[in-house]
Amino acid sequence: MDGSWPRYACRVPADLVVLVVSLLAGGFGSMVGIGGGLIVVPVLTTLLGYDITVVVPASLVGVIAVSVAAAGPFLDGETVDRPLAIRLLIATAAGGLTGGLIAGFLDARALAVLFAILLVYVAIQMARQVRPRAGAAVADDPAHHERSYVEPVTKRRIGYTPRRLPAGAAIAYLAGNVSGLLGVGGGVINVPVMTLLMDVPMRVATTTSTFMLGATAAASAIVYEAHGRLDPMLAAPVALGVFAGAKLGARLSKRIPPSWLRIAFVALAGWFAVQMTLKALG
Amino acid sequence: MTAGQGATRLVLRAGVLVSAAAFAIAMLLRVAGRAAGDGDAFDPGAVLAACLALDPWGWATLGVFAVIATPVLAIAATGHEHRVAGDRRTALLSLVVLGVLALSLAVALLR
Repeated sequence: MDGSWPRYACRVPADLVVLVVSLLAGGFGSMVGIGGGLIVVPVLTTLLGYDITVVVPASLVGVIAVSVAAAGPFLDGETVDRPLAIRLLIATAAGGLTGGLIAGFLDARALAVLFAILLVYVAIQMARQVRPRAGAAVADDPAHHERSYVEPVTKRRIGYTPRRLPAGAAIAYLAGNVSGLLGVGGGVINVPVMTLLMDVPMRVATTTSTFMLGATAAASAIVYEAHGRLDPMLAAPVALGVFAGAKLGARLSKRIPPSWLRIAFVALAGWFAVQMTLKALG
Repeated sequence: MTAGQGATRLVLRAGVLVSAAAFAIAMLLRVAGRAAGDGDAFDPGAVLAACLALDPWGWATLGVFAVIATPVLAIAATGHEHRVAGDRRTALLSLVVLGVLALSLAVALLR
């Protein structure tokens, strides 16, 4: 995309398509804490013909929109672990900054292949976690943990203790880089890192990740804007779509069991891995 | 999760309203047939003039900056709330996050 729009006769339908795609992406992204970029970027580039160098910055604006629109309702539900978010944000925001800076220098194909491999790995790991562990009720007893939250579906208070923060922060820095480079929410990495590595419950991981996505993407969006690569006229329908979608997703999220969210995450990660591989192979 | 959340909620909701309104105005102006101009997004005067001239670019750029500013302000609000709640460590770490974001802005302005 060179910054111009299709002819007037086509403009409104094109806007509506971008809006609808962004709405669906925002809704799903807020439910699983991955942002909308995983859907917005490949659809706008492969189906609608936009240049990926224009789509990535616009998608980052959409990622921020998902975060700010969904984080409010998540705060109401008191499932966001803000102290944990702040600690991880130091790493993801730094990653977002460096990701935005080096975006113009890295080979996009190599990065796409590496990201596809990572997604497949994450999808396999998450698929293994779909069924609840035996004895989870005893392990989740709040009396034995430093933090707890009330699971909206079961209304049961569940305890947890975040572990391995340095390792989690190191991978979160990578997540910030991926976010800045590809225009996706770092949640695609942050959520499995929190659940699989740091022993954070899925519900808390998704909401905390959503809270983090905005500041992470802001670090790189500022850089894209400064370099003149952020087209506000594409960002507008993307952001509007994900605003609406994220509101819807945040409401649905409270009514859907975490295991369903995990299955959905696995499906999306697998789909995106295929898309990235196909793009890398040209 | 023991600190208050009122300020952070307020910042997030205000940011959603302002940025969504700006983006919606930009989209409505485009649908109405107004051509989008261009300019220096880091020149507040140019953005304001474009908004007053009902240029979709001005309103969309305003929306972009509003949406980028919202999580930054939310982090500041979170730090303040944790400081009030006595969690000085999280409050200080919030300042570190804001420092990283300020570094991004500095890099942007030194382009």
